[in-house]
Amino acid sequence: MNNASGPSGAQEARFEQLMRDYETEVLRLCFLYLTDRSLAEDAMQDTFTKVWRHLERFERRNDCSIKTWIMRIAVNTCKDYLRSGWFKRRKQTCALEEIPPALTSISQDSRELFLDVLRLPEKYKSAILLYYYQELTTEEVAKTLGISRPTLNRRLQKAYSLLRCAPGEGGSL
Amino acid sequence: MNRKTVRQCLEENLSGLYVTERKHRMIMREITTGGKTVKRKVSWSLILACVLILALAGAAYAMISWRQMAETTAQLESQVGYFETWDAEQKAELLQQLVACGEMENSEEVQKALAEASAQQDDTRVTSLLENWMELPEDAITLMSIMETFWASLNPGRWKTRRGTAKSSSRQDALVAMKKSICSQPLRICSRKKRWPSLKMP
Repeated sequence: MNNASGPSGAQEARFEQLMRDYETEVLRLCFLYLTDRSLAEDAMQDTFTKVWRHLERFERRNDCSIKTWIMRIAVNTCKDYLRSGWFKRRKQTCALEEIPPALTSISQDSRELFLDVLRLPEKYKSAILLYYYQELTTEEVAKTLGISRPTLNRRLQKAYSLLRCAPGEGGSL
Repeated sequence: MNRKTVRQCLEENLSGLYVTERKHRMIMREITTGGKTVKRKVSWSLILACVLILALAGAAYAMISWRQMAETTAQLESQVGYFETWDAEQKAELLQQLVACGEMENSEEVQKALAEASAQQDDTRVTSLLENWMELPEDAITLMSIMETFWASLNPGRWKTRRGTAKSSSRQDALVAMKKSICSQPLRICSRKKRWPSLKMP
């Protein structure tokens, strides 16, 4: 969080627009990773702090889309959180309680699929979230996760099979 | 399972999770303006504390060194006695050495005073001359003041003399010669060491 190392005031408006465009997506992605609302908010703030600090460098480099870049930062931030000793010791039985009440009515199937996605191992969950939820291309997901496309395809297939076999899913999807 | 199904499912379930305008503004403010890393400034209190510490340390050092010097001088004073208690012979010896080194002129008055001191043991004239040289009354003359006056003569400019006159180089040479000459004399007041030398009066 360093104003001096971040973009100048001229780019503040651009950064704010970026935040408006992606903050909710990033928050949700972080929540799906961390299953903790306050942690997800912290991770989102950390993500945008990094975006703010490195935006100029990214724009000079311009090697991928802004969304891919922001999602990559979000995923890496969440991974850092997951690796922390505090997170490992934290009780993770409250995922359901942490889920904010939905604005619309949710079917039982939808709720179960959602919980199944939450229960996926981290590497499969990443692939599912970025590919299915964030609708990135396989190339972008592979870039974001730092893996090859064949590896990503294998992970997606595995995640798919896990969701099919998940209780309540019944292979209906 | 296709993209739309999963996306729709996740969107439905997470529809209650969004960033409020208030939260957005708060994060924006924290990121762009908060948590600035600024150079550590030296506060006035720190400067004041440093000055106080230095002043205290200086005062303590001055007190210790002054005390040491005073103790040494007192010891020497107790050995050689106070100027006003010196006998005529001792005062005449000091006058002679001052004349020998050129600090005082070998005038008729000086010779007369020395003669009186040796013949009649009368130190009135000698004392008067030395008082003039020291610019102090007899009872104020101490070993320390003699040393100061003498040291000031040897180091013009480095020691503020009461006379306030700088010595010429030839005068200084003479004083150095005097120093050399009286170093072999019993009255050793010419050492350049910080500690006062032992002073032996004849």
